[in-house]
Amino acid sequence: MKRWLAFPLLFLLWAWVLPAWAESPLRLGVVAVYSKDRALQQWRPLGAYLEQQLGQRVEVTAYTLPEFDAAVAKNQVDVVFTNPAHFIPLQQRNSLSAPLATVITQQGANEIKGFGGVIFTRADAASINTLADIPGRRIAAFSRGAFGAFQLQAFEMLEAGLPVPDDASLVIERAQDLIVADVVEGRADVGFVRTGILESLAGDGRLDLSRIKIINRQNLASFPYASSTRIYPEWPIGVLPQVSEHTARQLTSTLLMLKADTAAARAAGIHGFSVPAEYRAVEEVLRKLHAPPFEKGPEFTWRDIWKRHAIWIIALGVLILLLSGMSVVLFLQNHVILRSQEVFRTLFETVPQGVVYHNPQGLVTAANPAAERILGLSFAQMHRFTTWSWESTILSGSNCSGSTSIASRYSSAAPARWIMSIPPWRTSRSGSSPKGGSSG
Amino acid sequence: MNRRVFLANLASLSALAVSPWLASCSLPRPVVVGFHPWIGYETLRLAREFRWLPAEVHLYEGKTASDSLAALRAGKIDAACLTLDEMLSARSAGIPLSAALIFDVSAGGDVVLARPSIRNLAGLAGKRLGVELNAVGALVLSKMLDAAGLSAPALTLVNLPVDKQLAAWRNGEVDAVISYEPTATFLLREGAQRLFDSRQMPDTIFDLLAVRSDLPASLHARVEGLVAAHFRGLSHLMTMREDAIYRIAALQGITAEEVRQALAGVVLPSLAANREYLDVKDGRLIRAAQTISALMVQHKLIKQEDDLGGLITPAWLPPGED
Repeated sequence: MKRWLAFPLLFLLWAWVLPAWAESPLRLGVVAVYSKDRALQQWRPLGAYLEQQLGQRVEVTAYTLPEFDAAVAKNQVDVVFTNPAHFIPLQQRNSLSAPLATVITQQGANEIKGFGGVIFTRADAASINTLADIPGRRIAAFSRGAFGAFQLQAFEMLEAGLPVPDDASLVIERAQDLIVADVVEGRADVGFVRTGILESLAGDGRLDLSRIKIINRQNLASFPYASSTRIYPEWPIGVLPQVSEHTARQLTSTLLMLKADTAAARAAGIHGFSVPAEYRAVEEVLRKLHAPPFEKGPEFTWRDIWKRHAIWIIALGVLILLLSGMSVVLFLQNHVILRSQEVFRTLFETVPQGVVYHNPQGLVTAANPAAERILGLSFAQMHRFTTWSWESTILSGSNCSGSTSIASRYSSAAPARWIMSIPPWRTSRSGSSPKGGSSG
Repeated sequence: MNRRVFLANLASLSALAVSPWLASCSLPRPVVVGFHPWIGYETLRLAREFRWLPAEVHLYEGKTASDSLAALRAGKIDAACLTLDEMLSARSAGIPLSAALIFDVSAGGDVVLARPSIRNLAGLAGKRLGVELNAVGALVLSKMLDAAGLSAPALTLVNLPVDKQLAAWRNGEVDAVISYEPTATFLLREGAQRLFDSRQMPDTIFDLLAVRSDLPASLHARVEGLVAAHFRGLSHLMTMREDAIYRIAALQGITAEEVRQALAGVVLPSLAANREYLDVKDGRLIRAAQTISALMVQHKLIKQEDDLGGLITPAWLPPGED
């Protein structure tokens, strides 16, 4: 190539590459599990790999969980690489994309696509052996929002019918290795950490595994770490809305192409990235723990209620209909009875015949106005006597003719119906009456 | 001790443990289900691990389907995890069974494996082929011979139950085998090559839950609970795949990668797909049963073809949406 041609070609190359570099950098945010320095050490080589492959400057920043939320809210992050329980609320609240890829970690020769939580205590803690022994103990954890170092363990307890540990029982630490130290040195009874932390510390010579005991150990023989919980899919990576679709596609393909033997993968301790995993189980954990973004619990519509409880709703409806029907029948019957009572009350009060009700002992329990008028006694006065004594007391003391039976009695099965009738021609104490009487 | 042998011993112990329930006539008693290790059936052990399996449902764990068939004949179990042909075989022996659930449909899980020197199906001519002399073995053999353009006399058939295949392979007693998981994975690990598999014969090999159709009504709720537990286990396998894979790996004594391979060889029908398969109008299962039944008569595995009456029932499937 002639030298005079080289300059324009170089200029063209510079002009082609420059806009990409002049663009604002792609800002990759990662959560710091141990410390920010360690996170940067782990993930900066991945940033360099992406920079090289995408032809765009990539800035890697490590955040704590609250810092991450704040940075996303201020639009300071383009690419989010975090644990799934943190990813899901960001999707709901900050329009983070669906996962583009899921990381595959590496432990020795093993590719690991999931992680869980560990519940551990000191090996000599004889009284702590099962999940049921945990409530009421001091628990060292990372934060209530930490998926592998609180939420997974809390979910297992919930599934076992135990309460989720409350704030009072938690010793919150700023790094997972400090949680281990708290338990080993007796500042906490139980520790919650992500799977792999214990083995990693033991590998660094910072923990003697014989000094701790795993609670609720799961039978996961070929999983290389001890776990006390189910295994959930590894961290997803996603982009915020300001990232163009073109960049998102390039980023995804670049991540999927990452090989285990590259410097970036080795530094990060990962095998690479796979197509996105299924994260519904993570949502289920968050939902049951009422953790963000499900603090309020699910909102039910009438349709949901119908779908879930149709049989009960139908049964209740039938019951209400039956009760309503019975109420109508009762109302109608009551109306008939009231009408009937009214007829009898009118008859009782207006009939010229005196009518006196008495009980089996002969005590007067009711008397109609005609009886009061005929006998010249008020009901209160009659009430003092028994009907048995009337012949001798009331009638002899009155002007009534004692020879005339004023009444005839009859008994019935129901004592309240004992009744005595007084003929109307016995008009007053002074009056006379023809002979007669009838049972009423 | 070899894990599978250990598991088999455990199975015998569990059989002893459940037999008093069956000896007693007092009701209600547990429902006992014949089980042996197979990727499609593992939803039941997953369900048991998470306590989703009703306490009144016991798994009678055997080494192979033969253990379940023997237990069915002896009246020790109420239901069993079987292939369609195994169910037909039990029905021909007078055991009234209905398919209540399709665990899986083989899609690569049943396989012809051969020594690396045998490059293709035609290369099997004159070789010793180990095959379990049941209908699936006969079915795969028949389809394989068709594909290879060979006839049965061209091969030396060795009756070899699947649990004896690994030892026979190591001892050089066979050149090829018709196998299935997890033994197939063990053989692949020994250097065997895949020549033919059930992907070339779709909707043919079904693994199902066969339930005695004369089961007392008092036990029906337990079978419903068993079927519901399977679907919960299946949901776990679908939504928490990694967790399920590690658990199955531990249960079968194989690696997570081997479980992934085994899962790749089967289709696990959802509740909706089960409804379709178990609908008489669908016809796929009935047609497969007709083919297998005819083949079984041809190979003298049963005396006469099954009348297919009451072969399938959707009655045990959970109600509601899928």
